[in-house]
Amino acid sequence: MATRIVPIAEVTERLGSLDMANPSFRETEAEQHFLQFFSSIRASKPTAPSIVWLSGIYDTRNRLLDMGISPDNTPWYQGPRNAISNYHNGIVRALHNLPFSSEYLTVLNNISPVSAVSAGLAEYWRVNQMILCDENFLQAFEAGLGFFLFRQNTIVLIPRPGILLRQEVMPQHGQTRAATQRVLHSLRSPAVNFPQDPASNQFWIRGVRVPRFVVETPERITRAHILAARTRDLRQTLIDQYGLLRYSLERGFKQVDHNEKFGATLYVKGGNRGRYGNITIRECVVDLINSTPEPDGTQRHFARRVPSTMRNAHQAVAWTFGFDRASDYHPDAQT
Amino acid sequence: MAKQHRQGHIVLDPIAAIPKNAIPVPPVGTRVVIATGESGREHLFKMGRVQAFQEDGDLFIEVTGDEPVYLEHPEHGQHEVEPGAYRVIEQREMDIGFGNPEIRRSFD
Repeated sequence: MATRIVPIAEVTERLGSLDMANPSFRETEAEQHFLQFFSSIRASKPTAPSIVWLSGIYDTRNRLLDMGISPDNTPWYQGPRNAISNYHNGIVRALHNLPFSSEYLTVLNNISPVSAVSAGLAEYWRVNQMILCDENFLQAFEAGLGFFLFRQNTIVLIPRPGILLRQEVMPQHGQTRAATQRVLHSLRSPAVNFPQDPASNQFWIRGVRVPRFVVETPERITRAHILAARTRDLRQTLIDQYGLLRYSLERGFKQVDHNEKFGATLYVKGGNRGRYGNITIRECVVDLINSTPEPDGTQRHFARRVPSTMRNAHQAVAWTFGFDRASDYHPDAQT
Repeated sequence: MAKQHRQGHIVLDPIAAIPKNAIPVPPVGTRVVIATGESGREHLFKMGRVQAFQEDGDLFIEVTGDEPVYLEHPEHGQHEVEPGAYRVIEQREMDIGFGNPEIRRSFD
């Protein structure tokens, strides 16, 4: 039975109206629409597949083994996979190969950890997001379906997690503003939340996946964690959570200038030119005081890393706002 | 000359005119949001007479009419912004790097 191919504009609109942070989950409806989608694309149906729901994506392989389902690919698995692939190509032709984009789906695509990808969990995303142009599949997605995979005449379905996003500017040399994109981010709760399966929850800060304790108990972060970070992005994130000024002072930064008018203090480390070759790299951090007091009367501090060429606090705070000359930064009103 | 304003991690820097190739940014309902902080709080104009423009990733606003408008934020309070053209600058910082640091937008 052929299904309706939904125009891309309508798909984008319907996806845009979904609550990605708190997706509604209607299991029966999602399952029914997925089966309709599945039966419409399968040319041969030797046996009716059984349906299994997993509540999350953590430890998928062992969970399937516990249920008596082989986690590895089987001949039956290849059939549906090829059918979906062919069907996807048909949709692309039907829609004249128009580009389909949804930043939410790009984010969802990043959720599956490497282990889950290797288990085939993300096969849906690997096929193509164009499959959302199938009315039945789109309805299953709207009803809360997140991922699916085929194993041993069994269809494994997984609900769509709630995701928290932040518009993030990607680093660019010499740019104050640059291309933005939505990334997974939450400082207070899991950015990827499987309501029925907390073990599958994932914690992300500004698009960087972090261990649970970094979000839930950031006071447990130590300098050893920062030094042991495997990637630069993770190290940067840990420093942000630890506190840049605290980290800098512990590393030996010294105050060299303070500007009362702008509420800025410049801290510097290194920059020595020793007689015997002990030259050290100069590093600068500016600490800014929020001129608007908090409800309890205290004033928040924000530390910013600035270029090593900064000579005074005014120059440093001006640079953070993109001014190369300190005199160009002269706010007549600041709060 | 209009005044330079700083509200949290945002600076409104007065300029002579909006760049010629800048593209108007449609408002969100009756509001013009120029930035969103870490906590989701917005720096915004609620009144009319404010048009946002974008060019090469830079954001500009133009305040028309004779009376000032108000730039609002729940933490930082209101700023009275005079008519004129402004460049919107978000605060930035150096990313950590090993010999080749990058620049990134900073948190509010």
